[in-house]
Amino acid sequence: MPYCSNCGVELDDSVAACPLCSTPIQKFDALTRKPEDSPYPQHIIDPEDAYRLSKAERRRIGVELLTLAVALASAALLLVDLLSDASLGWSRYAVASVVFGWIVSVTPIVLYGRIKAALSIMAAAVIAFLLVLDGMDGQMEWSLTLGTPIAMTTFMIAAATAEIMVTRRIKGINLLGIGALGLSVFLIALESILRIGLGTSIRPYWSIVAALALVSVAVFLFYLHGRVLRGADLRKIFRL
Amino acid sequence: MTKKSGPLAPAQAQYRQPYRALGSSHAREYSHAREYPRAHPWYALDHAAIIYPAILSDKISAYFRIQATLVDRVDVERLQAALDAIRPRFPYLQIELRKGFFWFFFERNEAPNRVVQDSKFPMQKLSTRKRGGYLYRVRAFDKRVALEICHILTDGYGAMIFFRSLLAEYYRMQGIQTEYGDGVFDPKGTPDPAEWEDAFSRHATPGAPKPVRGTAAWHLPGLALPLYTMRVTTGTLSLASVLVKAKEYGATLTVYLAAVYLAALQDVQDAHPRCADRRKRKPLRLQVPANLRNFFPSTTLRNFSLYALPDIDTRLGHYEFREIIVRAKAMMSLAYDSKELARTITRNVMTAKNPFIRIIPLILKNIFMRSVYKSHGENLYSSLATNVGMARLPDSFAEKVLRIDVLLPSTPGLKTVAAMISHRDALSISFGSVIERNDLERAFFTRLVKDGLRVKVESNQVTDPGKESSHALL
Repeated sequence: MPYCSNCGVELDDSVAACPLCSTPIQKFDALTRKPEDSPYPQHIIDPEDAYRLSKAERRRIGVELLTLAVALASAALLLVDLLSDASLGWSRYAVASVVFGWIVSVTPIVLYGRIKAALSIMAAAVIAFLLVLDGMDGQMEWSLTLGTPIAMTTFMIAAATAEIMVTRRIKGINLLGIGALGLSVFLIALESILRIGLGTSIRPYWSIVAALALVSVAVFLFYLHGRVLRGADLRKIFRL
Repeated sequence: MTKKSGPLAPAQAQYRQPYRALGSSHAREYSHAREYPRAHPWYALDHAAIIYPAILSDKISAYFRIQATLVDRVDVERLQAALDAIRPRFPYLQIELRKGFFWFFFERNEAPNRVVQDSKFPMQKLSTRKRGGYLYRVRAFDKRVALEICHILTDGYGAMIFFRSLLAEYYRMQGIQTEYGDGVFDPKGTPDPAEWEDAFSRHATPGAPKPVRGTAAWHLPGLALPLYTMRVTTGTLSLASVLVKAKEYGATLTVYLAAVYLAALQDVQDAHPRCADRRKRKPLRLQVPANLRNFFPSTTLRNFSLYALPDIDTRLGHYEFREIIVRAKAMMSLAYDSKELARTITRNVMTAKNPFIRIIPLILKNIFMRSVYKSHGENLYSSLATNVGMARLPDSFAEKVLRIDVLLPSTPGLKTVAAMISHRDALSISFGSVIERNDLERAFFTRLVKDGLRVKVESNQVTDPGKESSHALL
């Protein structure tokens, strides 16, 4: 019987190396058994694996369940509305909300691992939802002047801020400063859109005050980041 | 398949009484105690089992395995017939796990249970979400028959009786008759209600002081193997020579092997760079389970085991092997005492019976139990080594079985665990590990070799010659 010269343990005829220390085992061909004579089965797949769902299958089932739930809820809402009023009234708003909820929940599942594509579709869904809600009574009132511009501005500024944050080489307290700058730009844009949409004086006021406060905070944070903390990691600073 | 008018119906007279008439509180938890035994039978989990469903995951299977290597190739059809024949005798194993609002429970399972093909990595968790799924399965490969059974159902003693009865029936179908009794059940016999009692409840002594809570133990370092894989390393020795060696040290077989295990753990800890400073070490503590049927009168086939926790505190210095033997022997003698064991039994039972704990919905209880398992379970010991003892196969077919092994599944916390069992003169010691490095196995077996014992080692993980286990230190 072969044995390991390193560990001193005896080994099975079929092995080429010691299972404890991997020392090669000298063998005599005539005595050597074939690999298929190993005392352990070599197939790795457990029959139970057939019942184990892969992540993709779980996602597919999740989408199916969500879709079925949304379809049933929408049908129920429409039928209740039809039965009570003999026409579609309030249920259209409810169904639009349910469908919007479906798009927002299904998109990240379907586009798993593609965050940018999922966020783009969800942003488009928000804008479409606002337009549909506004246009249900036959005329566009607030969506074109307020809803859509505010949503698009929010998305664009958030995307730009996130992009700038991601590209920073050192991610420390400077990220808070970038966030503060992004917020100040957003506030100015928001007030401008509100003033244009409502037809009041174009000159922004309160947003400038808020932005100035935020910019000074950002400048302080950048200074702290560059001069005092020298790019220290946020997790290190705020460790509990 | 279990018959509808099956063996549960002829329960003994006391169990036929309405459950209110029964004095002990534990008896009412079983549907068999009621007047409608066939209505929709279910079982409550025993007090050792209630923790396991909460912690079951792809990483923690809680399945252990008894396998027999036969002289001849396994006749799978005959094995299936033997399994079908003995299953009605063990109705408390023919169940599926279900979720209640407050606790998990067992429900009788009428689905067929097929013998399945064995695979390279054993003891994977079976789905408990799928209806009709059993908590055990019989597997076969070449000359090997294996029973993989979940700890929720039973412990090593119960599993061994089922496995022995299965082998006896298998050989009976080949014309080898075996007398019933001594751990081999007659398939046509009637199950005794004592076989499915929750013995923990009966032996709890309300008012007993709680056991002292231990401190955190050192845990093996190591990178995890891929999910759904496990390295099994089995060493076989001559039982007689190990017994002689244990006697030389004035110890029993279990104490001797536990001491070797602790010494091997010390070797691994000594070689670990982070443990270079002794002051920063944690104690090495081993869990050595014991069959409580040896201490309390019970014939239950459900869980009824507790453990001793021999340890060495390496902050005090290096322990020589003889020192470890003395310490392990003393600590195990103290722990294997019916009064001490009753403390732990009482703590476990009373915690589960606490009304404030009982009213917590299962979904929250699971979160609570998972954290308890980590803080009061795995955290307190470095590894686990169980000695199941003699396989006690009947003489009629004992020669037909070359070897019996018991394999334990490891967990991400313990990483490597071991189980031992003897059949005739073959003592089998199997390690189950979920980490790449195998220095504990190597330290353990080489210590036995250095002690003058002949050890034959095999593993399911084939390593290329000259390629060391990554990150191994020894």
